[in-house]
Amino acid sequence: MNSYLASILIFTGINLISVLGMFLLMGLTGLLSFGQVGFMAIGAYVTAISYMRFGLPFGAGLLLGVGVSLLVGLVIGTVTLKLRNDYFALATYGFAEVIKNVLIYFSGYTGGSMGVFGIPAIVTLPMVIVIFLAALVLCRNFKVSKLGRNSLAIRNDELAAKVMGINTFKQKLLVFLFSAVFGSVAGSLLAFSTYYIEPNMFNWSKSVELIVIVFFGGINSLTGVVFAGMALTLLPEILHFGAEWRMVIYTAIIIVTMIYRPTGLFGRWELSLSQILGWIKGRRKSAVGRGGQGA
Amino acid sequence: MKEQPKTLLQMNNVTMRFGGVVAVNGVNINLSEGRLAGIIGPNGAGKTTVFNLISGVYDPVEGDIRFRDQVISGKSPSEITHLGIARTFQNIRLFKGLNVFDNVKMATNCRTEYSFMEGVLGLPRVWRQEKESAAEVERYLELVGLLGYENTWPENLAYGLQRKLELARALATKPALLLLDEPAAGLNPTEIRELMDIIRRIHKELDMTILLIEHHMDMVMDICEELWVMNFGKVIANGDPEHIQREPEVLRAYLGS
Repeated sequence: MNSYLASILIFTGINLISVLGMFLLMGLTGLLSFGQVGFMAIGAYVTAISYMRFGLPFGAGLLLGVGVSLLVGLVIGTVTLKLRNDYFALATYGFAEVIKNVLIYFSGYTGGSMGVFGIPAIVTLPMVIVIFLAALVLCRNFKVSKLGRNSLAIRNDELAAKVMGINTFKQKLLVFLFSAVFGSVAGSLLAFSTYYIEPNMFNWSKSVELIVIVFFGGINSLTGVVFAGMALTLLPEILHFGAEWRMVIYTAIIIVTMIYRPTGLFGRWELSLSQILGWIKGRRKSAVGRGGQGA
Repeated sequence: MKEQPKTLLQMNNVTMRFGGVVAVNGVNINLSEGRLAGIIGPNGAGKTTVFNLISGVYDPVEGDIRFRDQVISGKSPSEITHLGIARTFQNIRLFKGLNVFDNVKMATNCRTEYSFMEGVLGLPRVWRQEKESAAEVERYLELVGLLGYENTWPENLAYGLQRKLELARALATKPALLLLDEPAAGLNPTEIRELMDIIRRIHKELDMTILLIEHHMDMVMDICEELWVMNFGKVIANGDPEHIQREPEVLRAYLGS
């Protein structure tokens, strides 16, 4: 495989990991957050600085980044998650901007707006694929267990969810932290695959990109989000869109989705392992539906 | 004979104000364990506010509410559900993103024990508990007559079935006290008779104390053992249905004479 293709695939995989975090937070729990990019920045910088300055191995730096993200997430989440959802979105936007400005301000460690240079490309394609698949399994487990049901209930009717016994604040905080871990890991991987990082890589437009992917793929469909993530990351790379066209295209996607397919491209459809096996085996076990007693 | 029934729910002089409006004014309610009781009264009398106070949606301005001798006023709705009080809503509030099965299953969540980490890792304990919940859900769906609708989306159900689904969802939290806010609203006479049977079955077979708000007088008089009548935020009468029907204060509230 040529290195150009490999680097595009690595980039796509990293993007997908971050997108999965966004899917849990925005898709299933209904919390629109512009803060995901802030956690990517924390992961990237903590891992890069601890490696370059303190000689910490990449794996340890990645975990340290996760730890820092969890701490920051705990503080941010505790103060913002009691807000109404629209104010929460604004607050997370502020959080991401603050992170960016902190990175520029403390230039002694972070290199300011010049960023950190000369990070070795430790991250390989198999490594990204393995981490992505692990993240995918975690997300799937989340969705099919009580965690997913709790989140969907909160998204649909928070008061009813409370009355049915869900501690909504705790659930939202846990999901926020969990998605921060995804963002942080994606950031660490990004730093060690692009040679350098700078604050402008973690702009609000990156958050918008993640949001558009989740929205386009379908807020209820893990399959859809993964598909949309691949399509919207790969296509611009392959077709060589400039950065200036990207925003135009994203906007168009949002409008078209809202008009023709408000539940997202895949709606509620999920690809399951048993379906894939079913296709392989032919049409042997087609209708094994639950219930069946009739109305 | 059985010993004197214990008090399950107690509201002591509870008052709730919204700005200048006194929605509930010094209400005292003593509900014994095992009762099937009702609250009736004209529109705007404060019945639903009483439910919102019991279920923790509002905190009372004055007075306290006790459940099994424990003060619950001031606790959050989810804590109160965990203590054993469940409710339905007057304006149906089902979860549109979840199908019929999951709408009921989510209500069993408050009793599943696995943690967030266990959940995302998908450990064996998770699947065991998920299976147990699933079996329970089928039982509740059967009880209300929704078997066969598991994969339907709640918004596609007929109105009467949506009411039944709300009931099944409330049951799935396994409450000791079930609050039903106008369960018969919008139902036709056949559906109301069905509902009355279901409520009686829940009361007897699941051994639940039930408190319901209702406007269908024939239904209330038929199934309730005890009634509270509210008007303008106050309880104006309390007793068994025969007694209530003769109370002059009640006749005045309803007939406006």
